[in-house]
Amino acid sequence: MFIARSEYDRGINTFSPEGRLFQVEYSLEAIKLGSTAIGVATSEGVILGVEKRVTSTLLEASSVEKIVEIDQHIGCAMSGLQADARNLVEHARVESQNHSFHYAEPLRVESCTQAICDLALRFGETGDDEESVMSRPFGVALLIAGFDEDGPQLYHAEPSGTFYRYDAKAIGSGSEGAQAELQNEYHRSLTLAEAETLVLKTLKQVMEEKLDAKNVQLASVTKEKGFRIHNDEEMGRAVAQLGGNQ
Amino acid sequence: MTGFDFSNYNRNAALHARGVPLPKATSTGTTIVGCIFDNGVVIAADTRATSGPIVADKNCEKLHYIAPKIWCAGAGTAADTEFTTALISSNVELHSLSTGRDPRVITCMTMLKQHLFRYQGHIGAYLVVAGVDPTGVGLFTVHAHGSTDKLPYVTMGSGSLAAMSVFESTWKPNMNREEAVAICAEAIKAGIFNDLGSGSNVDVCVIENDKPTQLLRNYMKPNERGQKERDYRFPKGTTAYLNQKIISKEDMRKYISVEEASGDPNLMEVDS
Amino acid sequence: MTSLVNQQPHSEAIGYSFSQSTHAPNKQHSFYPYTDNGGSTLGITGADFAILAGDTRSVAGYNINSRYAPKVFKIGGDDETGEGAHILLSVVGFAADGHALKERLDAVVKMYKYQHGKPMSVRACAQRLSTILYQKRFFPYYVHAILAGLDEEGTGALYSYDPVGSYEREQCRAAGSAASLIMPFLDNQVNFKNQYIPGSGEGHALEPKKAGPLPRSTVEQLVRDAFTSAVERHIEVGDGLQMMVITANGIEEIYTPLKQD
Repeated sequence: MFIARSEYDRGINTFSPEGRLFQVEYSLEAIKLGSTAIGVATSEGVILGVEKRVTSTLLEASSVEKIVEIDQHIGCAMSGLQADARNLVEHARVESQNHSFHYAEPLRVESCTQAICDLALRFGETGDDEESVMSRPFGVALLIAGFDEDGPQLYHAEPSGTFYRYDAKAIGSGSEGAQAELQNEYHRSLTLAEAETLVLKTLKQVMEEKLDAKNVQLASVTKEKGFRIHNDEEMGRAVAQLGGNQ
Repeated sequence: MTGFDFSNYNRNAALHARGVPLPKATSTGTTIVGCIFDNGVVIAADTRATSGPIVADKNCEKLHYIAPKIWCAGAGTAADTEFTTALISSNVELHSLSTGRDPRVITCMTMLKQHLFRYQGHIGAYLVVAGVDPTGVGLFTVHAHGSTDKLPYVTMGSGSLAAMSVFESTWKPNMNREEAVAICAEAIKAGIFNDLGSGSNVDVCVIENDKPTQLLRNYMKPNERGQKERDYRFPKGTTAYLNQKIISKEDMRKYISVEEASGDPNLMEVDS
Repeated sequence: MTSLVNQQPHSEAIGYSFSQSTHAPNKQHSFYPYTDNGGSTLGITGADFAILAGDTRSVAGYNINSRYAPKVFKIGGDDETGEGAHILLSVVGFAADGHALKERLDAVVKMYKYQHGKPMSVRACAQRLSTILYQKRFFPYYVHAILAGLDEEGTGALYSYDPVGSYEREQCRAAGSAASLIMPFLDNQVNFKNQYIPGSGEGHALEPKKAGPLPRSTVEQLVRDAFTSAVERHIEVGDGLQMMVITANGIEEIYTPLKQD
């Protein structure tokens, strides 16, 4: 790394002469350290999958929560600093509830993503007495999956406050390999079951540990059932099926 | 009439103290005016009677007879203006009979103010008294508390300001009959269109020396009802009923005389 | 003219009272920021349209503030003329609050389109209006609001509100000072209440006349008749009738003069 960088490292509101915000870039680096998370959107719904990194046999695997519900029709997977993600998710939940309270309709997935990114960008703000409200950008990226009047959708939101919609997206430490795999395997006529297999297969390829029903988590969003996290039985079946396929 | 009956006073006061609201009296929201001219006097009134914001009567009469050549326009509580003018009319007639002379406007005005003063404003009659008598032309206002004014042109009621604006801007001395009628009608119209308490038509009364008094009922009708766009007659049998009993014309003829009505028997009289 | 009475000849006081004059030593001061500006509004829906109408008179006591003060507004239009709007709002009661409410809802509907990339549905707008009203539960917008538009199926939709946000979807509704005069007429002529099919039974056991969506021409006639009749019997209603008709093709405005007395 360049020494010169350090001068512009601290201030989150200061551009470097090259036009870069280092703290934001570092936050993106933090995500690359996180566990891999994958989302695949099909015409039937969206599948989210994460690796759990069960680092110890003493760790209760079910306490690792990397896929969470935002509303009945929206959920998200995360990679990076989990604690930061909770803030974003809490914000998104409030926004979604507020929307249905005020408008008697579910919040759109894009609007939800926008709301999350609005909060993500608030690291630059100052309070009443010029004190900054947030000390640093969030160190987490989210894959937001949902269903609304425009059908199933998958969004990727970053600490920089930008977001894009994807057919399939991988984030976290194994994202490079996983994204290449998704690029090869994705096609528009994927079924939900095929997408589930694709997610697991891709995770398996990039994970250091051997994939089993305990160290990965899947979730789906469909028109009929909304957002659902796969239970142990469903996870077991999905992982078993993957073994059978190969 | 020997006077008012106060026997319910204590009961009503007690009811009122317990929160029973007062019954709403019909008031003639009203614009009334008067104006003298070279040979007599004109008084005029609108024809709307209200009960709160509701129009109780679209074409009521606010010009009251006192004597053949003394008439009175009334504003305020409808019942009070009607009974007060009728009472004073009787007393004026009796007075005229006992003196053997034509009644004077000032006499009538004095009787009105004494009557109203006695009741300390509780009789809500606000009047314009006008007429011609052997002493000449008379035009007065009488307030409910008993105060009076004598002026060449006067207005009263909720539309008095609108009406007065017409007099103050266009009145001139020594007008003839036509000019006086025109200015009075115009003043009433100002009340009709600019005061919500006044509306519908213009009534005019012209009292002239050596001529019979003319009551020009509905002298102007600037507010005719528009044609309804739909027909609201119901087909026979539309209304359900619990039981029926038919009384034939023959049965009724035992007690009263029955005549055939002219016109369409299906026509329902829904508006006057 | 010397005024010898301290009372205006007959503005609102009736000539008698049972109340005893109490000579209270300490006078109570009060602040009442509301006024009733009178007038009436009326909405009726059909199979593929909704009509919102209101008279254009604004009053204060026995005075007329204006003979043309509209009570029906387009919500969420692109410019001053309201072009492109697909929702109507009528407000009657305290005109200043009505105006503030309309401006507020208009801004919310416009912002919604920017934020969510789609026009707000009438259903969503109806719920939003309710929350706006309830947010001022203890200092209410002193108005009776009616919201109209077309629902997702393209049928006429009408929502009516109380001043603090309680609302309901209805076929027809009259609001304002002459509501008690117009509403029974609507019950009878739109929902055919108290009307039975002649000869369908004996005595009280008649078949009620079935209500269904009315054609637009009929509804327009009913609205005009309702208002010309209300003008006859209510002093605060008059001057002009503003009718807004919303269909799939947009919003049409029709003005009809009313009696001015």
